[in-house]
Amino acid sequence: MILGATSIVLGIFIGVMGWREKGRIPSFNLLPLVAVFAGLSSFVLLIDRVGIIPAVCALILVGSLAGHEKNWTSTVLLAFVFSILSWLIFSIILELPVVGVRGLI
Amino acid sequence: MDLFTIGFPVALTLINVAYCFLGVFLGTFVGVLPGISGLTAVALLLPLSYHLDPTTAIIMLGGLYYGAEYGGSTASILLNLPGTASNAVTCLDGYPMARQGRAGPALFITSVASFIGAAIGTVLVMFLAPLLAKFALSFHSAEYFSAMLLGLVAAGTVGQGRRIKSVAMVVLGMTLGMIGIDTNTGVFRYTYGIANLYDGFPIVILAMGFFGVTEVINSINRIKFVAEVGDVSLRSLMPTAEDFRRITKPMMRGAAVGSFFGPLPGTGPTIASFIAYAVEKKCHKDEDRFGKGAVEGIAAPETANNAAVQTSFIPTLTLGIPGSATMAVMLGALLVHGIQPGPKLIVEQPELFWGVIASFWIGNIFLLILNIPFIGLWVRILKIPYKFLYPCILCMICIGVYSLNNSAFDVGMVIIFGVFGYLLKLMDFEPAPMLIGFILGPMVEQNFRRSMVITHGDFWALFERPITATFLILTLVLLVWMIYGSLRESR
Repeated sequence: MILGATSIVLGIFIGVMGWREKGRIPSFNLLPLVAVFAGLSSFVLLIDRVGIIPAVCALILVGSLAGHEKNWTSTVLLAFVFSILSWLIFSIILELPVVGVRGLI
Repeated sequence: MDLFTIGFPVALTLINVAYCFLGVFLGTFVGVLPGISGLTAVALLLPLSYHLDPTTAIIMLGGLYYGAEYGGSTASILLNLPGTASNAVTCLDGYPMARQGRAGPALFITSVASFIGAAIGTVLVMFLAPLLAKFALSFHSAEYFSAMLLGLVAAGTVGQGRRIKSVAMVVLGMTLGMIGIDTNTGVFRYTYGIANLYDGFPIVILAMGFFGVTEVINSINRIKFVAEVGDVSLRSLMPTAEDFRRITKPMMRGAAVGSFFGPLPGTGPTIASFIAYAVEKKCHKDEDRFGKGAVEGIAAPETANNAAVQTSFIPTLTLGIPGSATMAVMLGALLVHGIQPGPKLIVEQPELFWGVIASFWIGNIFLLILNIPFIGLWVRILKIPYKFLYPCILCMICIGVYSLNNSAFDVGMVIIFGVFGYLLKLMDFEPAPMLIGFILGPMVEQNFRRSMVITHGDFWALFERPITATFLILTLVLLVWMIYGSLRESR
């Protein structure tokens, strides 16, 4: 309760302070924000349903959309190597209950 | 000396030396790379540390933290881009030195200065921590409550940026820390009926979101380097005798500044390095040399930030009160293992305390070797393009968080915090005070309730205890100073 109220009061105070100042609109890194958000979300959606290998692949491929310079061959290679590697480390070596690809490994 | 009888035998076991090396190696690695801070690295390896023995875990995470301070100066000097925030000052004189073709000596001096700072800081930890612990043995919940309250308020008022925004972040952190079942009454707080939130959530999730994901989003397409780094040969490293003569005193002053600000709540290596630079500038008559490649200007702040990193372990290990966000995360790591750091830690778990301190010596010697003969390796690492790096970081965040509880919900929370953290960062809200609020908030509450039980709900009885009263008055002074300051700012 007290914390919630304090947050609101501080929020109003900061808002008022901001109102009184001449604002500089911060430059917005929109593309990376969206790409990283989408990449991470696809990981969340895929990991339990399909397995760690597709989840990591999706994360890297979608996440890479954020960069200005794109090099698809190397990105695909990176996704491939990293997904296999994380599967090996987590489900084979550390024996965590993660499947590589559901139904296959 | 307990250091030699208890500490080194623990720290010198094969597994601890190996993890110490892993910690400092990865620490230097992330320190060198702009766009990943030491805190992010600590958060990234936190899930791994859950599988380790607590002593080994702190040895590794500690190594990451101080290792990052060594590595951070490399990018400052060569690229004018600080590897971590506390190396930002080093850009001022380090980059001009590199432009004058003296990159080698600059790198050498920063490594030596870092080592001296760390050594002085570690000596202080060895002597001050047991003293402080002895003093703190008489602490009851009232004293803890007031000391932690002071820490909370200091976290909000002393840091960089707008004070009121830091205070708002501390409050936000405390609110997030309240999530879950209240241990005293069993009431669900801020859970909104979501079963996954009933137990609250670990600090890793918060740190990964606000530091890991936020930093990645913030750095993509902003960090461009690659071609401009030249190779640094071993022969070019040696500073002149004149340089050595000049840096001795600045290093001592830097160590003093760093050791002072390290253990204070709310301050840390970044503030220490900025103040050390300012002090150094005042100490020289020919002030205008600074900013144009003065060796004093890199030696003092580099000593200060390392001294501050080592001494910041003092309040965390002896009182259980973290002074900085990184220490808050490390405290979280200890709590997971069921260890509540406090004044009894040195007596009850001497292996942990002295083992960690002994590992500081081992780790810093590793770092000296890694950073001087092997400097070429780190310079080459600067050439890894960020576009390959960040997908890997994202990957480590996801899998690390997922592996905690095998819960995709946790990763989802990291995403929300990451996006939210990025929006906050755009509006200049610093996330560090929030982490301190997150850890300290529930602890303050618990100690407050305990002392209220003892005094039968009489708040003013707290002022009858001299130590508690002192802390509370200090807290009040800080608050008044903060309110006065922000009123003046807004005018």
